[in-house]
Amino acid sequence: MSREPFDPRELADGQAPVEGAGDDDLATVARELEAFAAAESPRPSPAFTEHVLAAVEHEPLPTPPRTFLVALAMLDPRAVWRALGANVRLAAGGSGSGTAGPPRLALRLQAVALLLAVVLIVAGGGTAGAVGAAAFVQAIGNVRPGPTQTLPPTEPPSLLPTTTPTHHDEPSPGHTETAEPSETAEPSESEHPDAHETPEPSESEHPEASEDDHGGSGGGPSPYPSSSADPSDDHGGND
Amino acid sequence: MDDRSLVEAVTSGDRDAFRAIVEQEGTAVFRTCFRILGRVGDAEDAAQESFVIAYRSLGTFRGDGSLAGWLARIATRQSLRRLGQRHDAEPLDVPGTPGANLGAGPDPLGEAIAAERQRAVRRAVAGLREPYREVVALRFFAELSLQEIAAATGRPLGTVKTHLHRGLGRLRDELAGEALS
Repeated sequence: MSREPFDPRELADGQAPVEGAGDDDLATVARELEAFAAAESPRPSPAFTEHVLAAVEHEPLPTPPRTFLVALAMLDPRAVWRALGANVRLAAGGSGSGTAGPPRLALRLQAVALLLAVVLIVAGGGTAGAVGAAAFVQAIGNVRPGPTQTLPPTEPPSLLPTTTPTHHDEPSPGHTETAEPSETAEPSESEHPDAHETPEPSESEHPEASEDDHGGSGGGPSPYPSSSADPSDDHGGND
Repeated sequence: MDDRSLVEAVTSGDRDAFRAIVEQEGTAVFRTCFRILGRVGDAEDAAQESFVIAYRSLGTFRGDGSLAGWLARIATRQSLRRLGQRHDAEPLDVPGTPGANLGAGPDPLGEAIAAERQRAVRRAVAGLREPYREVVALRFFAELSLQEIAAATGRPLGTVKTHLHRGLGRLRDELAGEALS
């Protein structure tokens, strides 16, 4: 308890000075508060201590495990956290209340059992939460493919009308021509077989041209004889 | 016995240790409650309730600060909570309240002025916003040092100083307004 009168220098490190409130102002207010406290200093009734002891007579012992349960019942997260810390300290070998001396074995066992229960509950809750979340995600995943499967039929009609109007609005010949090549790609493939058919007779011509052009250059079997067979080739042996 | 030994004894089942705590801190706790509430009956109820709460919570007392500061904070919070729930007007003729026995002394006018000023001080402190109210009450009603307040509330000392500085500044404005009115 501080029976010392207030000194404004106590607040020397105060970070937020009050505008217009100097040390004298603060000291004046403090003197008034101290005068008030001095005038209002009655003593409790003689039976006060007995009343308090009677009030706590039927209370269970305030051990850290008990305090944790009380805090839990009161749904007070801060009290639960503090009580948990007290139980951890008690289980670790110190006194749950921060006091000196070894705790009683039974009390320490209670704290250990309580911590184990908390760990199991938290771990079980976490596992259940993870499983639930996975099931939820899976359920969503099972629901989502339905709409995505129904979407594709709706998308192509929506795409085709949107593309065709734009094609019709803009110069239609150009776009109709671009659309056609994709169709003409098939005929072009049909031309390849013809091209495959024509190389067969030309293959008999290539060896002759390649041998004449390259001479002793050591060129191996050339898969592209037609290009080297051109007379415009500088590497040719025609020089 | 020091605070730690007393608490250790209580949590081990020693009821007499709790009696020692009540006898050691009872008057200070009661005065803190009375300065906030202004009535002997209410102050005794609040002080008794504070000790019951402290008894239930002794398992969480870490011993970082003093037991007196820890109890004072519980008493302050309980009293302020009770004050917030009070809706009736403060009677003048209740023993122990300022203004009781008016006219019995040699200077009834002076006593009446002093009683009114005490009511104004109590009203002004009660009207402060948190956390200024709690810090001012702990410093001047519970008579804790700034270090004890910091330990009891778990706030840094610099923060406690700032709160007290601002609280006193607002009290100055409030009491100046009361004096003018």
